[in-house]
Parts: sequence; C-alpha cells; structure tokens
Amino acid sequence: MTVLTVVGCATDSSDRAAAPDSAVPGPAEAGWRTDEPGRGRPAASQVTPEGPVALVLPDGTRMPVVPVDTQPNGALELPSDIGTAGWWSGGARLGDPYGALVLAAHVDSVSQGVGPFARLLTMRPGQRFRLSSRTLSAEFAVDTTRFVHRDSLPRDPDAFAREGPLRLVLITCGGPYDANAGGYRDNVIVVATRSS
Amino acid sequence: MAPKFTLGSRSAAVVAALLFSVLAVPLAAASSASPPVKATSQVYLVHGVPGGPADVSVDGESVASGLASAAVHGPIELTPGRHTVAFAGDGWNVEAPITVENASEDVVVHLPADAAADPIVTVFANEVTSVREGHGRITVAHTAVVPPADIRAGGEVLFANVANGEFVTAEVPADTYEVDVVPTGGDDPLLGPVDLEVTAGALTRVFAIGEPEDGSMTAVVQVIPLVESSSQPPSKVGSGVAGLVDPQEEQGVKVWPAILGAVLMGVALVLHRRRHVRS
Repeated sequence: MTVLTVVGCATDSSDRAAAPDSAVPGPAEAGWRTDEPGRGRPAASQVTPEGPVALVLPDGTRMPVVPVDTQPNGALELPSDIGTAGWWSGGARLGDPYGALVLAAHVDSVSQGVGPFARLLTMRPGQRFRLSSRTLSAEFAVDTTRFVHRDSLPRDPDAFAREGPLRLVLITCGGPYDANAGGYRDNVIVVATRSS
Repeated sequence: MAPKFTLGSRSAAVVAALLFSVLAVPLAAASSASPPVKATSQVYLVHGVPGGPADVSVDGESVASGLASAAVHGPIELTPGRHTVAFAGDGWNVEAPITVENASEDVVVHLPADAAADPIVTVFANEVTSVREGHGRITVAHTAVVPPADIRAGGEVLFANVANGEFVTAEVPADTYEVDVVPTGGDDPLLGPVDLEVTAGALTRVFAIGEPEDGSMTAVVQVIPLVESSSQPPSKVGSGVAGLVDPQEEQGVKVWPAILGAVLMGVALVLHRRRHVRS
C-alpha cells in the first residue's frame, strides 16, 4: 500500500477537482484590452487538512477516532469507550505542516477492563501507527515513550505543542495507581513522527 | 393494471396532510428568506507589476490613483457577480471582466509566466474561516515570471511545485519564518530568504511578483484579520480509572479478587448453613 504524504505532496484529488479554474474563461490569447482574468487555483500539492477518524495500532488493532475538546475544568474530554480514541480538535490535523496531533484514550475502565491504549505503556521506538481521515492517510513511527507525572503534562515539550514538525502524540494513563490520590500518577506519552 | 387496493378516507387524509406538508415547507422557506440579504464581498486590489504606480478603476469608476507597485488597496465592497476592473500603469494597461464569488477576494494585476506578455489579472479567494488558538493562516500565491517553484520555510519545503496563477495555503503557529522561493526541487533562491511574520488570528498573504532577470522579484505581503478560536490546550488527561495496569499492583490485581471472592463465598456458606440450621 502506498504511503500517502500529507505535507507538501499531492494527495487530495478532491481539492483539485473543486478548483474553480473553469469558473471564468482564462486569459484571452490576443490583446491585453480584452484579457479575461483567471481565477487563482490551488497548486496540485495543496492539502486540505482533516481531523482523523481511525487509528491502526502496531498490532493491527483498529480504533475509531472522535473529536474531543478541552473541558472548562482544563481536562481533555475523553470517549467513555476504551476502544475509541479522542482527537484533541484544538491541535494539529492530518495534513497540517506543524504541531502535535493528539490522540488520547482510557487505559482501562471498571466495566470494560484493559483497553488498546494499554499497549502504549510498552511501545518501542520504530513501531508504526497508521492514522487516517476522510481522504488522507499517514504512517507514524514511534520515536519515544515516556511516563510523566500527570501534573507535569502541560509542560511536556511534545504534548499539545504548536511548533515543530507534525507528529502524532498518543496519551493515556499509567504508573502507580492510588485510588485515594486521584488514580494513576502518570501520563504515558508516545511521540511518533512521520515515516514514509 | 388496476390497483389492488383503494385508499380509505383515513389514508386519503394522511396523504393529503403529507402533500400539504411537502408543499408548505418550501413556501414557508421561501417566505422566510425574503427580503433577500444583499451580501457584499470585500475586494482588495493588488498591484503586482514591478515599476511605477498604477491607477485602478472598477466598473468605470476610479477607486485608486497612483497605487504604488507591491501595494494593496482596499477592501472595497462589491456585489457578487460580474464587474470590470482596469489597471493603468507606466506603459501598460489591462482591463478585465472579473467575477466576484467569495466573501473576500484579491484582484491582482501581475506578470504572467511569459515575461514578454502583458500583465494579466488573477482573482484569488481569501480563506477567512477561523484559525486555531495561537495560529495564523499563510497563503502564498505565485504571480511572478518564474517557472514552478517550491516555497521553503526554515530550509524545509513547506509548499511544493507552485506555478504562476496558483496558490498554496496552510495554518501555522504564529511565528517569524525564514521563507524563500526556489525553483521546484532546486536550491538557489529566486526570492529571499526573507523573515516573514505570521500573526495569530490573521491571514498573511504573500504574492511573489516580478522577474529574476531584471532583479525585480519581490513579495507583496497582505494581512487580513481572522477569528481565532479560543480553545485552550488541556491541562490534564484523566485516562484511567480502574488501576488495572498499575505495575506495583500487578499481582494484587489478580490475587485480590480471588481472595475477596473466597471470603464472600465463605460468608455466604456460613450464612446459608445458619439459616439452614434455624429452619
């Protein structure tokens, strides 16, 4: 299967098809007085970013992805289903050139047990994720896996980053669990960069 | 073939009601849509021909006189539809019918890909939808006498293979970018590098204009305010509630339910026996 490039290469044919280059006739062949103006067209390399809809884990597990946002208390809203990942809609999309594309999911739940994101806890460099949106798809290879104290999450250089090349940031919970101290102590952060 | 069933009066009433609702909805929609809102478009006029100033008129009326090269005039308000725009420069002029289609448009007079040809007019739609918090939108339009080009930011290709009359756009974090324009796949800048400031909550439009042959390559930079989303990054991600992956409790997870189960069963057994004894 071809790895589609989401930055700087032609992938989104629908976008080009929508180019209104035939809305008005092009410049007339002769005579500057009657030149019919053209309409500026998107270059073939133009990619229209999209929110992701599906994630495939290195072991082939497929998770649907739904958009989520920051709640008034500062916490990221998460799908209650541990088999579904939430995409932080305030962050990068597939096709954006810069920033963190953030996906988070519950590591476990009382009713469903351990979820697919528990695999993040043991993710090794080089393992590959495939992320897709309506018309785009890209592969990301794991760069780092780290446990950070949950209070330190906002200061993590990758989580929620605006700058730097587009990267996939996967977040779940991990580390010691203490029900009396708010549950898991840590967030697990897997950072994966474009591989193609 | 004759129908095998007939409509009872009840069915007829239902059909009549359905028909009425189907007919009434468009009527209601039509009446609520009037009086029609007379929307106008914000149109900017961009002088992208190197050299002297130009006079600009729209539909026969002067809108700007002595507009300097690489300058932007506007916005002016135009109704969507056909208009005629005329630019008169130093030794050249061009009059062109244009079609205004979008809420915000740039009407640019510039040199075509062929240096020997006269200036042409190209209309670009300005994407004025909101941007994410801390981000701006950058659009680069190729309106110069150069072959298809790559636009690089910080030495990395941000936009590839853009030809005259084409544009590329992206939402990027607010920052100052070192931008240059190189022939597609090449390394020798046709323009730049220049420091380009992208402001949060704004559309920064860059037009590459001129021709390298006579050293007239330059950039027109236009900034249009946008709405910036107020969505803030999360401060926490609470993504586990059951303690099932606690490394310290790994044995406990398996043992405790078993112990708890055994205790409960023992209690139940005792209670059952007691009840049995009493009865």
